[in-house]
Amino acid sequence: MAKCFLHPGRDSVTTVAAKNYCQKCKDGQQAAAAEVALKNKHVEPKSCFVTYRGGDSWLPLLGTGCAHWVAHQLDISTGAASNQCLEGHSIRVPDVIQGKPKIAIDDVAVNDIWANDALTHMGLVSKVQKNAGADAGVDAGAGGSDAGAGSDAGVKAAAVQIQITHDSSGQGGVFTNDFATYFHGQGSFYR
Amino acid sequence: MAFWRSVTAANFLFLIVLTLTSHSCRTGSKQTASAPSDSSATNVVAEFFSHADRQYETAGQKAEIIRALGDMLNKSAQQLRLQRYADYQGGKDAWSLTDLIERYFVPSQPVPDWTESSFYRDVSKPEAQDAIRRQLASIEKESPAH
Repeated sequence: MAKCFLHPGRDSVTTVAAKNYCQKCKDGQQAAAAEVALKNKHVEPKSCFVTYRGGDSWLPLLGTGCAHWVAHQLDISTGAASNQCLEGHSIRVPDVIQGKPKIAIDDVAVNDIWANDALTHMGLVSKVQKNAGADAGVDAGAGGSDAGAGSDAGVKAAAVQIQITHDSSGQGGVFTNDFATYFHGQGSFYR
Repeated sequence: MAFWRSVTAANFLFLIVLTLTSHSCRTGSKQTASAPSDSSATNVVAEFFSHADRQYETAGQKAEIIRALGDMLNKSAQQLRLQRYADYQGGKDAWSLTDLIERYFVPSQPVPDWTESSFYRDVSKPEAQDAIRRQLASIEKESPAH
Protein backbone atom coordinates (compact mmCIF):
# COMPACT_ATOMS: atom_id res chain seq x y z
CA MET A 1 0.00 0.00 0.00
CA ALA A 2 1.22 3.51 -0.81
CA LYS A 3 2.51 5.55 2.13
CA CYS A 4 2.10 9.22 3.03
CA PHE A 5 4.64 11.48 1.31
CA LEU A 6 5.19 13.36 4.60
CA HIS A 7 4.61 10.56 7.12
CA PRO A 8 6.08 7.33 5.68
CA GLY A 9 4.72 5.31 8.61
CA ARG A 10 1.13 6.04 7.63
CA ASP A 11 -0.96 4.63 4.80
CA SER A 12 -1.95 6.98 2.01
CA VAL A 13 -5.64 7.81 1.57
CA THR A 14 -5.43 10.51 -1.08
CA THR A 15 -3.15 11.71 -3.88
CA VAL A 16 -2.64 15.37 -4.82
CA ALA A 17 -0.30 16.41 -7.64
CA ALA A 18 1.23 12.92 -7.72
CA LYS A 19 2.00 12.95 -3.97
CA ASN A 20 0.33 10.58 -1.51
CA TYR A 21 -1.06 11.84 1.79
CA CYS A 22 -2.40 10.13 4.93
CA GLN A 23 -5.78 10.73 6.57
CA LYS A 24 -4.34 13.30 9.02
CA CYS A 25 -2.80 15.25 6.14
CA LYS A 26 -6.08 15.08 4.21
CA ASP A 27 -7.98 16.37 7.25
CA GLY A 28 -5.40 19.13 7.77
CA GLN A 29 -5.56 20.19 4.14
CA GLN A 30 -9.36 20.32 4.23
CA ALA A 31 -9.40 22.32 7.49
CA ALA A 32 -6.87 24.82 6.08
CA ALA A 33 -8.90 25.13 2.86
CA ALA A 34 -12.02 25.83 4.95
CA GLU A 35 -10.08 28.62 6.66
CA VAL A 36 -9.16 30.03 3.22
CA ALA A 37 -12.85 30.06 2.28
CA LEU A 38 -13.67 31.87 5.51
CA LYS A 39 -10.87 34.44 5.65
CA ASN A 40 -9.64 34.78 2.07
CA LYS A 41 -12.79 34.27 0.06
CA HIS A 42 -11.47 35.82 -3.17
CA VAL A 43 -8.88 33.04 -3.58
CA GLU A 44 -9.57 30.61 -6.44
CA PRO A 45 -9.11 27.69 -6.35
CA LYS A 46 -9.31 27.45 -2.56
CA SER A 47 -8.68 23.76 -1.88
CA CYS A 48 -4.98 23.91 -2.78
CA PHE A 49 -4.15 27.33 -1.26
CA VAL A 50 -2.66 25.58 1.78
CA THR A 51 0.81 24.70 3.01
CA TYR A 52 2.37 22.12 5.33
CA ARG A 53 3.86 23.51 8.54
CA GLY A 54 5.30 20.36 10.13
CA GLY A 55 3.86 17.64 12.35
CA ASP A 56 0.22 17.30 11.35
CA SER A 57 -0.19 21.04 10.82
CA TRP A 58 -1.55 22.56 7.61
CA LEU A 59 -2.28 26.28 7.24
CA PRO A 60 -3.63 28.64 4.56
CA LEU A 61 -0.92 30.17 2.36
CA LEU A 62 -0.06 33.81 3.04
CA GLY A 63 -0.95 36.66 0.69
CA THR A 64 -3.53 37.32 -1.98
CA GLY A 65 -4.62 34.88 -4.68
CA CYS A 66 -3.91 36.84 -7.90
CA ALA A 67 -0.67 35.06 -8.87
CA HIS A 68 -2.02 31.67 -7.76
CA TRP A 69 -5.08 32.04 -10.02
CA VAL A 70 -2.98 33.01 -13.06
CA ALA A 71 -0.54 30.15 -12.34
CA HIS A 72 -3.46 27.69 -12.34
CA GLN A 73 -4.88 29.05 -15.59
CA LEU A 74 -1.52 28.74 -17.38
CA ASP A 75 -0.17 25.74 -15.43
CA ILE A 76 2.84 27.67 -14.12
CA SER A 77 5.02 26.07 -11.44
CA THR A 78 8.08 28.32 -11.28
CA GLY A 79 9.75 29.34 -8.00
CA ALA A 80 10.71 27.41 -4.90
CA ALA A 81 8.53 24.54 -3.69
CA SER A 82 7.83 26.54 -0.53
CA ASN A 83 6.25 29.19 -2.76
CA GLN A 84 3.84 26.83 -4.48
CA CYS A 85 0.35 25.67 -3.60
CA LEU A 86 -0.56 22.10 -2.72
CA GLU A 87 -0.99 21.35 -6.44
CA GLY A 88 2.44 22.78 -7.21
CA HIS A 89 1.48 26.10 -8.79
CA SER A 90 3.26 29.41 -8.13
CA ILE A 91 1.79 31.88 -5.65
CA ARG A 92 4.09 34.94 -6.06
CA VAL A 93 3.81 37.52 -8.85
CA PRO A 94 7.57 37.56 -9.65
CA ASP A 95 7.60 33.76 -9.92
CA VAL A 96 4.69 33.69 -12.39
CA ILE A 97 6.38 36.12 -14.81
CA GLN A 98 9.87 34.70 -14.26
CA GLY A 99 11.65 34.24 -17.62
CA LYS A 100 8.74 35.65 -19.62
CA PRO A 101 9.55 38.55 -21.98
CA LYS A 102 7.42 41.69 -22.01
CA ILE A 103 4.99 42.10 -24.90
CA ALA A 104 4.28 45.45 -26.59
CA ILE A 105 0.70 46.57 -26.11
CA ASP A 106 0.06 46.34 -29.87
CA ASP A 107 0.95 42.65 -29.78
CA VAL A 108 -1.10 41.70 -26.71
CA ALA A 109 -3.25 38.59 -27.16
CA VAL A 110 -5.72 36.62 -25.07
CA ASN A 111 -4.00 34.64 -22.28
CA ASP A 112 -1.02 37.01 -22.04
CA ILE A 113 -0.20 37.86 -18.43
CA TRP A 114 -0.66 41.40 -17.14
CA ALA A 115 1.05 42.69 -13.98
CA ASN A 116 1.06 46.21 -12.55
CA ASP A 117 4.31 48.21 -12.44
CA ALA A 118 4.96 47.45 -8.76
CA LEU A 119 4.34 43.71 -9.29
CA THR A 120 1.79 43.67 -6.49
CA HIS A 121 -1.10 42.39 -8.63
CA MET A 122 -1.65 40.43 -11.83
CA GLY A 123 -4.24 38.94 -14.15
CA LEU A 124 -4.79 37.43 -17.58
CA VAL A 125 -5.78 39.13 -20.82
CA SER A 126 -9.26 37.79 -21.56
CA LYS A 127 -10.25 39.98 -24.51
CA VAL A 128 -8.44 42.24 -26.99
CA GLN A 129 -10.23 44.58 -29.35
CA LYS A 130 -8.04 46.56 -31.72
CA ASN A 131 -9.14 50.03 -32.97
CA ALA A 132 -11.71 50.02 -30.22
CA GLY A 133 -14.19 52.89 -30.35
CA ALA A 134 -16.78 54.18 -27.93
CA ASP A 135 -19.00 51.18 -28.71
CA ALA A 136 -16.29 48.68 -27.71
CA GLY A 137 -17.66 45.42 -26.42
CA VAL A 138 -17.07 44.10 -22.95
CA ASP A 139 -16.50 40.50 -22.01
CA ALA A 140 -18.22 39.70 -18.74
CA GLY A 141 -15.73 36.89 -18.07
CA ALA A 142 -15.93 34.96 -14.83
CA GLY A 143 -17.25 37.81 -12.72
CA GLY A 144 -18.33 41.44 -13.15
CA SER A 145 -16.99 43.90 -15.68
CA ASP A 146 -16.58 47.57 -16.33
CA ALA A 147 -16.70 49.28 -19.72
CA GLY A 148 -13.76 51.08 -21.24
CA ALA A 149 -15.67 54.13 -22.51
CA GLY A 150 -14.34 57.41 -21.16
CA SER A 151 -10.81 56.07 -20.75
CA ASP A 152 -8.19 58.59 -19.69
CA ALA A 153 -5.33 56.27 -20.61
CA GLY A 154 -2.87 56.96 -23.43
CA VAL A 155 -3.60 56.75 -27.15
CA LYS A 156 -2.24 53.19 -27.38
CA ALA A 157 -4.42 51.91 -24.59
CA ALA A 158 -7.48 53.63 -26.11
CA ALA A 159 -6.77 52.21 -29.58
CA VAL A 160 -6.48 48.69 -28.19
CA GLN A 161 -9.17 47.83 -25.71
CA ILE A 162 -7.99 45.12 -23.36
CA GLN A 163 -9.97 43.24 -20.74
CA ILE A 164 -8.11 41.72 -17.80
CA THR A 165 -9.58 38.84 -15.81
CA HIS A 166 -8.03 38.64 -12.36
CA ASP A 167 -8.47 37.16 -8.91
CA SER A 168 -9.42 40.37 -7.16
CA SER A 169 -9.07 40.72 -3.40
CA GLY A 170 -10.72 44.14 -3.66
CA GLN A 171 -13.83 42.74 -5.37
CA GLY A 172 -13.85 39.38 -3.62
CA GLY A 173 -13.37 36.88 -6.46
CA VAL A 174 -12.45 36.46 -10.11
CA PHE A 175 -13.56 39.53 -12.06
CA THR A 176 -12.97 41.04 -15.49
CA ASN A 177 -12.06 44.72 -15.71
CA ASP A 178 -10.91 47.16 -18.35
CA PHE A 179 -7.17 47.75 -18.62
CA ALA A 180 -7.46 51.45 -19.48
CA THR A 181 -10.07 52.47 -16.95
CA TYR A 182 -9.92 50.10 -13.98
CA PHE A 183 -6.14 49.61 -14.10
CA HIS A 184 -5.43 53.11 -15.45
CA GLY A 185 -3.46 51.65 -18.39
CA GLN A 186 -0.45 50.90 -16.18
CA GLY A 187 1.66 47.78 -15.99
CA SER A 188 3.19 45.38 -18.48
CA PHE A 189 2.18 42.31 -20.47
CA TYR A 190 4.16 39.07 -20.50
CA ARG A 191 4.03 35.90 -22.61
CA MET B 1 39.81 -19.92 26.00
CA ALA B 2 36.11 -19.59 26.60
CA PHE B 3 36.91 -17.18 29.44
CA TRP B 4 38.99 -14.91 27.15
CA ARG B 5 36.35 -15.07 24.46
CA SER B 6 33.74 -13.88 26.99
CA VAL B 7 36.07 -11.12 28.26
CA THR B 8 36.66 -9.91 24.70
CA ALA B 9 32.91 -9.96 23.99
CA ALA B 10 32.23 -8.04 27.20
CA ASN B 11 34.89 -5.48 26.30
CA PHE B 12 33.41 -5.16 22.84
CA LEU B 13 29.93 -4.59 24.24
CA PHE B 14 31.32 -2.05 26.73
CA LEU B 15 33.01 -0.17 23.91
CA ILE B 16 29.76 -0.02 21.91
CA VAL B 17 27.82 1.28 24.93
CA LEU B 18 30.56 3.86 25.60
CA THR B 19 30.54 5.04 22.00
CA LEU B 20 26.74 5.32 21.84
CA THR B 21 26.58 7.18 25.15
CA SER B 22 29.28 9.58 24.08
CA HIS B 23 27.55 10.23 20.72
CA SER B 24 24.18 10.75 22.37
CA CYS B 25 25.72 13.20 24.86
CA ARG B 26 27.33 15.18 22.05
CA THR B 27 24.07 15.28 20.08
CA GLY B 28 22.12 16.29 23.16
CA SER B 29 24.50 19.04 24.12
CA LYS B 30 24.52 20.34 20.56
CA GLN B 31 20.70 20.56 20.49
CA THR B 32 20.42 22.29 23.86
CA ALA B 33 23.25 24.65 23.02
CA SER B 34 21.88 25.62 19.64
CA ALA B 35 18.22 26.05 20.61
CA PRO B 36 18.54 29.21 22.72
CA SER B 37 21.14 30.60 20.37
CA ASP B 38 18.81 30.15 17.36
CA SER B 39 15.80 31.72 19.03
CA SER B 40 17.78 34.71 20.29
CA ALA B 41 19.65 35.23 17.01
CA THR B 42 16.66 35.08 14.65
CA ASN B 43 14.27 37.99 14.72
CA VAL B 44 11.22 36.56 12.96
CA VAL B 45 9.84 39.98 12.06
CA ALA B 46 13.11 41.08 10.45
CA GLU B 47 13.39 37.70 8.74
CA PHE B 48 9.82 37.91 7.44
CA PHE B 49 9.91 41.49 6.13
CA SER B 50 13.39 41.12 4.64
CA HIS B 51 12.13 38.34 2.36
CA ALA B 52 8.50 39.27 1.70
CA ASP B 53 6.77 40.66 -1.38
CA ARG B 54 3.72 42.83 -1.04
CA GLN B 55 0.63 41.66 -2.95
CA TYR B 56 -2.27 44.10 -2.99
CA GLU B 57 -4.56 45.67 -5.53
CA THR B 58 -6.23 48.92 -4.51
CA ALA B 59 -5.26 52.35 -3.19
CA GLY B 60 -7.34 51.66 -0.08
CA GLN B 61 -5.42 48.46 0.60
CA LYS B 62 -2.11 50.28 0.11
CA ALA B 63 -3.16 52.98 2.59
CA GLU B 64 -4.05 50.37 5.19
CA ILE B 65 -0.71 48.56 4.76
CA ILE B 66 1.12 51.89 5.19
CA ARG B 67 -0.90 52.60 8.33
CA ALA B 68 0.01 49.19 9.75
CA LEU B 69 3.73 49.60 8.95
CA GLY B 70 3.66 53.05 10.57
CA ASP B 71 1.98 51.63 13.66
CA MET B 72 4.70 48.97 13.93
CA LEU B 73 7.28 51.76 14.08
CA ASN B 74 5.40 53.93 16.54
CA LYS B 75 3.37 51.73 18.90
CA SER B 76 4.30 49.26 21.61
CA ALA B 77 3.61 45.55 21.22
CA GLN B 78 0.79 45.90 23.74
CA GLN B 79 -0.80 48.72 21.72
CA LEU B 80 -0.29 46.80 18.47
CA ARG B 81 -2.23 43.82 19.83
CA LEU B 82 -5.27 46.07 20.18
CA GLN B 83 -5.05 47.69 16.73
CA ARG B 84 -7.63 46.73 14.10
CA TYR B 85 -7.46 47.30 10.35
CA ALA B 86 -9.83 47.33 7.38
CA ASP B 87 -10.17 44.13 5.33
CA TYR B 88 -9.66 43.71 1.57
CA GLN B 89 -12.92 45.48 0.75
CA GLY B 90 -12.47 48.29 3.27
CA GLY B 91 -14.63 46.80 6.04
CA LYS B 92 -13.44 48.69 9.10
CA ASP B 93 -11.78 47.06 12.14
CA ALA B 94 -11.97 43.59 10.59
CA TRP B 95 -8.38 42.39 11.00
CA SER B 96 -5.69 42.30 13.66
CA LEU B 97 -2.19 43.42 12.69
CA THR B 98 -1.00 39.86 12.06
CA ASP B 99 -4.15 39.18 9.99
CA LEU B 100 -3.26 42.13 7.77
CA ILE B 101 0.38 41.09 7.39
CA GLU B 102 -0.59 37.53 6.49
CA ARG B 103 -3.10 38.77 3.87
CA TYR B 104 -0.81 41.16 2.02
CA PHE B 105 2.75 39.85 2.40
CA VAL B 106 4.16 36.73 0.75
CA PRO B 107 7.52 35.59 2.12
CA SER B 108 9.88 34.28 -0.56
CA GLN B 109 11.34 31.77 1.88
CA PRO B 110 9.82 29.95 4.86
CA VAL B 111 9.93 31.67 8.26
CA PRO B 112 9.49 28.57 10.46
CA ASP B 113 9.23 30.41 13.79
CA TRP B 114 6.52 32.82 12.59
CA THR B 115 3.75 32.85 15.18
CA GLU B 116 1.66 35.59 16.72
CA SER B 117 3.65 35.44 19.97
CA SER B 118 7.05 35.53 18.22
CA PHE B 119 5.81 38.44 16.09
CA TYR B 120 4.88 40.57 19.11
CA ARG B 121 8.08 39.48 20.90
CA ASP B 122 10.30 40.77 18.08
CA VAL B 123 8.42 43.62 16.39
CA SER B 124 9.92 46.44 18.47
CA LYS B 125 13.53 45.25 18.24
CA PRO B 126 15.95 47.35 16.14
CA GLU B 127 16.51 44.77 13.36
CA ALA B 128 12.74 44.39 12.92
CA GLN B 129 12.26 48.15 12.85
CA ASP B 130 14.90 48.45 10.10
CA ALA B 131 13.15 45.85 7.96
CA ILE B 132 9.77 47.53 8.54
CA ARG B 133 11.25 50.91 7.53
CA ARG B 134 12.54 49.37 4.28
CA GLN B 135 9.08 47.96 3.49
CA LEU B 136 7.51 51.35 4.22
CA ALA B 137 9.98 53.19 1.99
CA SER B 138 9.28 50.74 -0.88
CA ILE B 139 5.50 50.79 -0.69
CA GLU B 140 5.35 54.58 -0.49
CA LYS B 141 7.04 54.79 -3.91
CA GLU B 142 4.78 52.33 -5.76
CA SER B 143 1.37 52.69 -7.40
CA PRO B 144 -1.47 50.28 -6.68
CA ALA B 145 -3.04 48.35 -9.56
CA HIS B 146 -6.43 50.08 -9.13
